[in-house]
Amino acid sequence: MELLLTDEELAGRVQASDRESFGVLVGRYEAKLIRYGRKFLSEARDIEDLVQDVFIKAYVNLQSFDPRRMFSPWIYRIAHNTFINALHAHRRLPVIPFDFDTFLPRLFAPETTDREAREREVRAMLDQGLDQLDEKYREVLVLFYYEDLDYQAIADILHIPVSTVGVRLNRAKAFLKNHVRR
Amino acid sequence: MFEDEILKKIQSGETHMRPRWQFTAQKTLFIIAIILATLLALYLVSFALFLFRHAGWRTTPFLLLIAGIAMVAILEILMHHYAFSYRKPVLYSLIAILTVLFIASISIHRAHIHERLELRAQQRHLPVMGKIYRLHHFPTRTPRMIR
Repeated sequence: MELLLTDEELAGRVQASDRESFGVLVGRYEAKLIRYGRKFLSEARDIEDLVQDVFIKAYVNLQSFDPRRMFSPWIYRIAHNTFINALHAHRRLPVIPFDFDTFLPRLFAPETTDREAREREVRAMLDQGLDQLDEKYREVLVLFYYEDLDYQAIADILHIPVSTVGVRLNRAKAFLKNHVRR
Repeated sequence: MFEDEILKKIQSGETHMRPRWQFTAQKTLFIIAIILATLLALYLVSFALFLFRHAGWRTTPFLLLIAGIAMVAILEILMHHYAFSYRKPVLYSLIAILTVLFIASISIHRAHIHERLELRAQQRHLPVMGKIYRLHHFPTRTPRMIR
């Protein structure tokens, strides 16, 4: 019965104290979040521990989730924050973290009819060039190509404008094409 | 398996769900912070403009203007928490905030709010901000000028 319920319905049940339903959600997202963590963090670290932290945080804060919204961006947002904290654990962060590419409205070229061919080309280059990318470009690539999320969902996870998602994807793809060819 | 480990932690009581009222309280406090930041930004910006209009740019305390700009930045950071703000470029929400402040400042100017506050400051009926108004007292204006 629980297998037929949507993520949002399951989250609603957990909020009403049905703990077993949380197990179903864990089962659905475990592999996805581990893959996301491995591709995004790229460095050798215990991804399983981090993903377990993500699920614990999700359970602790589940009453803040609105079941009328989508569950996927919500849990990916928790994962994003956990992975970013792990990434920056030994780095100094700027005093006021501000990203200039979220400031101005940006135009980005919409996908054209030869989209499938371009997508195949990018996917082939992803594993070779992912480590070389800055984290903000790497993350959008991972969420778009490996997690199959759309621009809106990625914008909600990263809390950036939808146009910025498109711009970062285009820049990341351009970098991969230049880098992998070399 | 993650599922078993996590359910074990939940069922043993090692992990607790935070109650809904905590998140409701957080959201309420957040909204209050936005309202207070808006009012403070409005006051600082309108007061700096008031001084500029009456005393010119040479005597305008730029520190006040900088404080106003800082409040606008804080307001932008607070608003960025919401989807209607972060889904669009920062410039759009900044323009919206500045537009609201501009329109509200015009209303404050038309209602002679700062003139009334200055009068109260001269009569020593304005605590805290009274000193700043008296520092920038404009002797050519009388209560009759404030309708």
